[in-house]
Amino acid sequence: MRAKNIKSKQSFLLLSLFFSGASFGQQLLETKEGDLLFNPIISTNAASTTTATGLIKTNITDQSIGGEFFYKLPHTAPLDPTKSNKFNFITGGIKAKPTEGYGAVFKNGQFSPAANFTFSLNRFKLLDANLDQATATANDNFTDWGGIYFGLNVNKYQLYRSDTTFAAQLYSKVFNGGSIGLNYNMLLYSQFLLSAKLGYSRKANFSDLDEVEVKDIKSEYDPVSLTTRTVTTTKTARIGEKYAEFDSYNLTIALTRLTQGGAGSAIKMGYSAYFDLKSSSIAVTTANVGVILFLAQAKNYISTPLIGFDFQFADVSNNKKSETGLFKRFSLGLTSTIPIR
Amino acid sequence: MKKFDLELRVKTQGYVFSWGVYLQEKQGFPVMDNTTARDPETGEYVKKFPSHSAPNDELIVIVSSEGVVGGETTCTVIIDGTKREKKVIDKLTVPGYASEKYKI
Repeated sequence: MRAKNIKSKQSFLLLSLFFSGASFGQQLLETKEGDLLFNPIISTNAASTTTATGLIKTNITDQSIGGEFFYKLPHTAPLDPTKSNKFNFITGGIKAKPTEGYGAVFKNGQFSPAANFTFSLNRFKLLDANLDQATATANDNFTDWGGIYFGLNVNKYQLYRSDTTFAAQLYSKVFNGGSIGLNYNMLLYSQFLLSAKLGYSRKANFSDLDEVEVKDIKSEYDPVSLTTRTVTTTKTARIGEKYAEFDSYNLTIALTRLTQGGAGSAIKMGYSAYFDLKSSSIAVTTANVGVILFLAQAKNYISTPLIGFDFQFADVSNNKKSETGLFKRFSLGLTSTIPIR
Repeated sequence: MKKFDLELRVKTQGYVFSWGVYLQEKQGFPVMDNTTARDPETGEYVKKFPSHSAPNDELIVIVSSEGVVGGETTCTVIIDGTKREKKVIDKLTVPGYASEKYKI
């Protein structure tokens, strides 16, 4: 049995590859945990060909592959309330991954699936209520959108515990978790995006548990050939004694400098500073702060982030009473986006 | 006030996620927005105003848009079948709206 600390993996480089399925690129930035930093913008004046757009993506930290879609609801006229729908656009996403990672898939042929579904309903102009009439536009330096989001997680976990009978030590656990919350985004001076997400989710602490490899060795002696044969099967699991399911509340606030979507193809730098507060029923409240520096390139007047570096300090106020200093709780992440066209 | 046939053609580039075209003599809601019909050949949003008139024979066209820096909304003005050289261009690098005056 070989134990590895999964937390050391979380401080490892994050590499997310987004393969854009449309030239209508989104300013997509993910946290190290694989959550979108803010609900992306979708144009409400898009032509019929860009009414809906989507992309596929992979994320190496949580080892997921998935897709996102964005759909503008019909008959949306944000400037005219008499024509406008209650909600202007919807977004959705799906992610799938092996819960023990691809290492276990390739090494042991072991696959425990996890799927994550997200959906959000969004509306433009929540506080920006002047309807952008020309007479009021001169001093209008912001616009906003926001809405409600839902999520559903379906996971199958492989767990190991030593404090029970031999036959019951290695077992599977199915966990279904849901989430619900609100998101709000304010675009200031056409360039600075202030965004906030507040939500509840039902979670399991599987990813925080130590990982073990369980090896079953069977021996058989053949008196004819005088040979002892051993057969080894290996399974990757997490220590189950501390497994828990719990309620979690989180608040994320981010300020992002979006890059210009101009005619040129120059690479430009943007940044996002974020504050992520997490509270749960089984652990103390912690706050992570970080900065994502990203490079984006304009193509067809749309800015697409190519690469991003995520600098994060975890639990800045040391509520977990860790004996390590703040800089020991620092980690670097790397995100990358590759548009197909 | 002279009567004239007015045609407005709008196209957007970049991250423009809401826009409207206003005529000064029609205060209030925009005369064009993303629900306006499009020309299937050019992709432009097109609206015609036959026998239109403007105070003092001076047409003021206002374009307002919102989105990310780098985007722009361009409105081409056609009066009595003649495309005017001056276009109304609202760039998102500049806060506020864009407007142009046209002598009839």
